[in-house]
Amino acid sequence: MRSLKDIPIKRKIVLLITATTGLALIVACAAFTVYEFVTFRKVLRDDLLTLAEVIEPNCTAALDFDLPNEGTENLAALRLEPHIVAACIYRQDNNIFAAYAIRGTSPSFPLDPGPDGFRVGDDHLVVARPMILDGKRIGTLYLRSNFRGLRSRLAAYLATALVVLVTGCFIAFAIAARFQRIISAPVLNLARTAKEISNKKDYSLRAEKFGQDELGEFTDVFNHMITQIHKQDVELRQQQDDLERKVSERTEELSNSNELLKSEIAERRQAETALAAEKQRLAVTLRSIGDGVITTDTDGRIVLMNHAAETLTRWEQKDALNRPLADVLRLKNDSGATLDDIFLNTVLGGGRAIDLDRDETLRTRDDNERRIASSGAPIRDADGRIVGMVVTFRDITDRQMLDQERFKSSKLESVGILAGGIAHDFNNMLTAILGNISLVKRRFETDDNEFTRLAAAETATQRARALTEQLLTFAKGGAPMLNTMSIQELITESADFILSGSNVRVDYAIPTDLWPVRIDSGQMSQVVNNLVINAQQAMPAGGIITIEAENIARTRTDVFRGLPLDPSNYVRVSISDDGIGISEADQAMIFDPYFTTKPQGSGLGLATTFSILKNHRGHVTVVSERGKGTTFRFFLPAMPGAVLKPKTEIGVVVEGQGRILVMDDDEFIRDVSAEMLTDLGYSADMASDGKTAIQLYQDALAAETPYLAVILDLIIPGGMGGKDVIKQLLAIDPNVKSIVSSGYSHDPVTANFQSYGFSRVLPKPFDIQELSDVLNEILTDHRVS
Amino acid sequence: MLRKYSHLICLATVVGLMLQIPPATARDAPTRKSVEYEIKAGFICKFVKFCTWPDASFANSDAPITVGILGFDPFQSIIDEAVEDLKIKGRSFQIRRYTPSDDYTSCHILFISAAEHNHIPAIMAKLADKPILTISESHNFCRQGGMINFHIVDNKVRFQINEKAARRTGIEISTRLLQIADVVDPTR
Repeated sequence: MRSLKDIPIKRKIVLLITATTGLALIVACAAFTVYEFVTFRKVLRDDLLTLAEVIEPNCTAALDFDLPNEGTENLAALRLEPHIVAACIYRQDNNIFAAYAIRGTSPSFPLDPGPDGFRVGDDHLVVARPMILDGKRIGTLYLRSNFRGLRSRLAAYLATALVVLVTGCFIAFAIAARFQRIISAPVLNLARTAKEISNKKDYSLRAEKFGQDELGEFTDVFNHMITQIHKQDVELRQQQDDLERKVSERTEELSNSNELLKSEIAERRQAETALAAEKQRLAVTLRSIGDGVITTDTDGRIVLMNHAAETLTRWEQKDALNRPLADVLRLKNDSGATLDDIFLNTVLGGGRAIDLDRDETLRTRDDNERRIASSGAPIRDADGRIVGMVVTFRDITDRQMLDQERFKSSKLESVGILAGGIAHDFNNMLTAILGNISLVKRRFETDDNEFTRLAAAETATQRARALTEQLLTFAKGGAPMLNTMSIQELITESADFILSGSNVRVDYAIPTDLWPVRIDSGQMSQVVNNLVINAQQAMPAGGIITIEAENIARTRTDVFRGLPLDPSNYVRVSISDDGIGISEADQAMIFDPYFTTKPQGSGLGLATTFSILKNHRGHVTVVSERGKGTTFRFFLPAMPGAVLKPKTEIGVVVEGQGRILVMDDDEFIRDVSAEMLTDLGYSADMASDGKTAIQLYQDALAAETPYLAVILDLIIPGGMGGKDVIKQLLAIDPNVKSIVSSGYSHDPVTANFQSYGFSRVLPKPFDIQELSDVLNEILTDHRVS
Repeated sequence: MLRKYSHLICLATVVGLMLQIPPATARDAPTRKSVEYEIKAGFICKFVKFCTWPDASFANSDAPITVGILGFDPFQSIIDEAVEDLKIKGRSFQIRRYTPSDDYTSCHILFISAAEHNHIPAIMAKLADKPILTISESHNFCRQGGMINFHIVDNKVRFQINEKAARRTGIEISTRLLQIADVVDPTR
């Protein structure tokens, strides 16, 4: 169904007029009917009241004289009034005196007549009229009428109204249909014109005017509006063209600036990437730093912790964030004072950087203690304002151990230098003593009393030599003469020799695949001797010494931790006893020179051991517990896979012949050397300095009586030493056989004699046997070659 | 049910009607006659309501209505009792008893005893159209010029009225009364 709004205007007008007319008529008819109804009711009431008024006097007498028949007869007259359906007369006591009912009905009456007057019941009208006689009420007349009259009358009215309505509407429709055109024609014309204009876009079209009423006026306005629109349309087109041109210009500008923007964005993105990378780098750097780093805000609350700080404090950053620094970095100095607020007060309060002494103890979250070195500094922004603080700290528990070791070493070194100086001169003297003794001893038989005395003197001298040797071990530059060899034999020989016949047994746990080591066998024998003697002396009542050896690969950093060792392959030798042990206080000093707890101790044994191992680029440690025993462990650089040289045998005194040149600044040595060489069958020439030695060698060479060998003292005070002499001799005779002899047996030159051009080394002091051996070796080589 | 008791209802009706003029019994003090006269006395009083006397008939507006009884008095004390304290139209009643020799022309209502029916014409002549409402209980009374005559119909007391006779004397009888009476017109 079309909505009212959508039906054509023509019909709308007709419908509107017809509906309006119909509605007006309906209202009029309704009003009329209602009016009539109300009026008729009033009429009906009046009729009824009048009827009662008429009937009542006629009945009064009958009632008064109590003649019901007469009363009934009087009421019977009501049949002339067909709308009266029932009537009766009540006595004063409400008994019914006389009654009437329309034919065909047997009426019922109420028990009493009810109030006087007119009233409307459900389907009837009632009048109760008092019956008065001589001013006294004697009864009541009751009349009842139905609505029949009212209804028939109403029906008549409705029929009339319907006829009027239909006729009225029809007339209205006819008139409207005929005259609607007066309004609709101009409107339709206008609409058609507007549509046409809209369709064809032809603004020259105009609407036809029908009259001078509002529609006519509207038509004029419409036409005027079209004219205006036409004008505006033209203007609009111009403006549009203008606008399009502007837009295209602007678009171009936009596209240009867009390009610019894009390149800016790209640059910015690049910068952001660089920034992110920088940030990443910073984070990585911070994480990689071995030192703990904590930054705080100006209140000293933690803002950042790096990984090292987490590890050291045992606090995780997420737990530590925003806590006061003192909660996490709990510091005490050695005197036990807490240093909680030292950073807060000095750095944040005072704006100064602070570097704490290295005697702080950090209490970690799990209540362990670490020694740390820490420092703090304020963080300042570009304007120099303090925005926080950075505290760095590192674990120096290990380094402090190292420092102690170093300190110990330097102590030994200074003693060593002193000892070295003495030992040099001492060795020279011993050389003279030993040489002379060995010479004289050869003159006696072994069962001679003189032989025995001389042998005793020799032994004492040998001991003096051993003492000097030990002193020299400390000497600076006392490099060992290193050979690659197995340490196993050296250990067993030394230990077995010392412990033979004692109440101490030794157990070995040495693997057969133990790596070879680079050692000075003499020095290393001293080490083993010292340690075994120590162990033996720790067990006066006897016991078991356990000697273990094992390979320590360079990857075993756990073993090296805190030791002054380069990462390398090592052989570790442990010598344990179950003796009295060493007190903790003593442990710190046992490697110091001249420290001893034994009445006969020299105090040099362990110091020498320490020094030897140090010179071997090794190390020695001690672990001991009072009453339980002591374990010394020493590390030696290992040479896994090295091939070992077969051991040379030491022969008996071999006599020889030929010319030997000896250069030494010490007259006693020159003297005893000449004697020993002569005794061995050689002819010896002596030179007290380098110049003389070179001169003699040149002369001999020129005389075609060349020296078989030259023995050169390494150090000639105030003159050319053996090192320089051999250079010149080599220049003269590349085949020169030379032996370097030195009281400084640990001199780098003696340790690496071959690279200096020497053929052999002869450490001072030496006896005739040693001299014979070294000469025999060199001359045998010569003969072989 | 109604049908079942219909004969009872009929009986009750008969009894009711009978009661109006109950049969005289040995036990009851009022005889049947006395009941009849009680009714007639009441009717006489009620007639006053419907009748209007000329103003000259009364000395003033409060003057009582005089009811005269001529001849034998059938009412005895009944009528005296009936009018005692009775006031109609603002007037009280007074009863007078007359012998035929008395002057009975100064009352307002005159009840003429049936015993005097032979003397009616003479009495009428004596009254000579004076405004006196004449009442009797003898046959032909109204035809003889009387105004109201009691008679018994269906065992009930009814009355005849000669309205013309009344109007001639100046007494107006209300049509309401006429409606319940047997109107007698002796001229026809």
